[in-house]
Amino acid sequence: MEGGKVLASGAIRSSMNPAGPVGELVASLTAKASVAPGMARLLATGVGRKNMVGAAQMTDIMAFSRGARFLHPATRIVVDLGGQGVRLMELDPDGTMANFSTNDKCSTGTGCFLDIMASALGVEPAYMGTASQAAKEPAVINTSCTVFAESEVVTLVAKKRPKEEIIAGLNGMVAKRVVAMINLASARGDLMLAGGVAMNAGVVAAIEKELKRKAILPDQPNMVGAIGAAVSAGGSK
Amino acid sequence: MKDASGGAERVLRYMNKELAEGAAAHRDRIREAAASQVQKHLAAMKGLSRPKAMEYFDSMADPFGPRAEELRKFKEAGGKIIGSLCYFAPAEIVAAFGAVPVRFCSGVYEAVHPANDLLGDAGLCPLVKSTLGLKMSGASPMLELCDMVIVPTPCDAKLKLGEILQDMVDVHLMNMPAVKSTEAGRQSWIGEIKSLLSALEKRFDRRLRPQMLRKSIQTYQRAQAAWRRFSELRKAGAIWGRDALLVAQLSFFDDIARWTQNVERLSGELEGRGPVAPDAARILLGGSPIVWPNWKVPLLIEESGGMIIADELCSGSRTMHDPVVVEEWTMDGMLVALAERYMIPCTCPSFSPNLEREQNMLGRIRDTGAEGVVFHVLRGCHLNSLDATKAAKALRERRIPMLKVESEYDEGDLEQVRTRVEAFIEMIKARRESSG
Repeated sequence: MEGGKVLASGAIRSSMNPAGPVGELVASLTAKASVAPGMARLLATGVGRKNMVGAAQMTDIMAFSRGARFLHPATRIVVDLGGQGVRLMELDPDGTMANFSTNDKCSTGTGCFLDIMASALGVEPAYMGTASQAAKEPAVINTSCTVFAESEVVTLVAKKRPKEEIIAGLNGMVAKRVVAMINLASARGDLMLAGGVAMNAGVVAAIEKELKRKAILPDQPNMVGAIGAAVSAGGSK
Repeated sequence: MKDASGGAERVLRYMNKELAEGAAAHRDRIREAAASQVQKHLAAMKGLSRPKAMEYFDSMADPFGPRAEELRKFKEAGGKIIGSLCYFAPAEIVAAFGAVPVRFCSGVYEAVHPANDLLGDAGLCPLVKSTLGLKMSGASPMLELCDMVIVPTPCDAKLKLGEILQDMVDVHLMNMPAVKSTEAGRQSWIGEIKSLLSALEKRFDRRLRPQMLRKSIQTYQRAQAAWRRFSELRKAGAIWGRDALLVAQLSFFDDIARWTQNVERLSGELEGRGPVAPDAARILLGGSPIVWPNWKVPLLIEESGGMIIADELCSGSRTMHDPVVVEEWTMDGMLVALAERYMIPCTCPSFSPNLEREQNMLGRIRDTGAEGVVFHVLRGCHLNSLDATKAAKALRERRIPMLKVESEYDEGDLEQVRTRVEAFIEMIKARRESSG
């Protein structure tokens, strides 16, 4: 990133020892952005950031708040619908983070949850987002526990309930939990949805329907944290 | 089964022989794990700026260590030891008989296993499970020395803990009123204090003379005054919160006069010292009890750039903060003063409506300049989890950030919790920059 413009971006799957693959990613990105190696400032964020020896560090919660502020300065609430957790950050009008809440230690409502459900339904994870629109009536999923929800899904499939309706039910359940977090926040104003699950149109539509308002969706919802880190490292200048 | 004091045969309502034997098999592992946890945490707490006077507290820190040995000798010489399982049991009354009061809320992780074997997944908090496991396994020499254990009943878990323990030891239950704002609630609690006195008189087979209770109350008033002086220095940042909390907790089982002397000595050393970490985020720690050596949350906060400059824990400041205010030094006057001291200022979530809690937190934030609140909830501690919701709203409305941390005794979630604590402290520091 330079002068507020993203020059190059990329994502790789994490592994047990991320330093090596991340180094390769950094090398390919600097090449793509035509930045001389060693001239790029590196800031690591996220769960494995401490493996990046020598890089400046920032928690992903802070990075998301900075990224949201940069992409849409009027953002007052940003929700990271991540792979392993849902985090909500509240921003002051000047963009400073004022509070955050998380639903960690439980996979429900996360990308991981939706992946497990996709696999239980035998569909591609990407289909979870598009299937909702085709549903006539969302199925009711009673439990939010990943393990129990999976068995509920299997039961619904056995009862010949269309997969689309089950998916719409799952997306709706995820949305309800996110909306509950949003309602507990005290900030009012523009809401941004970020993180990988924000690429699931079904979940986003269900959240907007519950809230009766539109959310801000960045072009690359999964890059908000990375952009926040780049901004913090000086990339907006 | 015979109890530790060699009393009468007990009726087993929860335990059986196999469970008792299984629990005893945990004993050595619990002791070893506790000792290594104590040493690990003490090593993490020792640093350049650590006051010399902490050496005394470090030397007493092993709950199965030197104090247990002292008490064994005390008991051999005919002394009596009375345990208690909560903040609410007034130590003054026990000490007035010349007996030693010892508080046994347990922070030892390994001790939860015997309780899990007995109860399965009963959804109890780890503090109650660990305390039960200690007794089941016989791992705590001090607990084994107790002639009787006083169990107040603030929550469901402690209510039943008091019942289950009767399989193993004599228990005196203290019925806690949930509503303390009414005259009926107040009178009921005064009645409980008086009935504790009668139970102890019966056990020791003698009447308590008022002057003995007076002397005991005065000894504790000195301890409370020493704690308040120390709290002022803590507020100024002269000592890490992890050390201050250890000091508070050793009052659970130390000789109270010696504890007071050592707190005074520590304060003397800290007097005039500047803050040990001037840049640290100033944190008020609240919520469920944090009991040594379950030092996960205090260490995480202070390893992540924060400093616990105050707390509102029943295992911390609340233990010693409030003085007993006696208007009339008659037996009745002293008992009423004790009842009031242990109930009125207490912000335990077992009370409803517990409006004092937010007021107390906000007052402490004003008084100490705390920049944020970490509200710790032990999983299974439903009452604190509910109070967290209320505290969060009151704090949000005043723009004071609060982080709710829900956790157990094991360290499986250490890194997850660390990330959140780090983000919280990062946020507090970023807010400083934007406002200053």
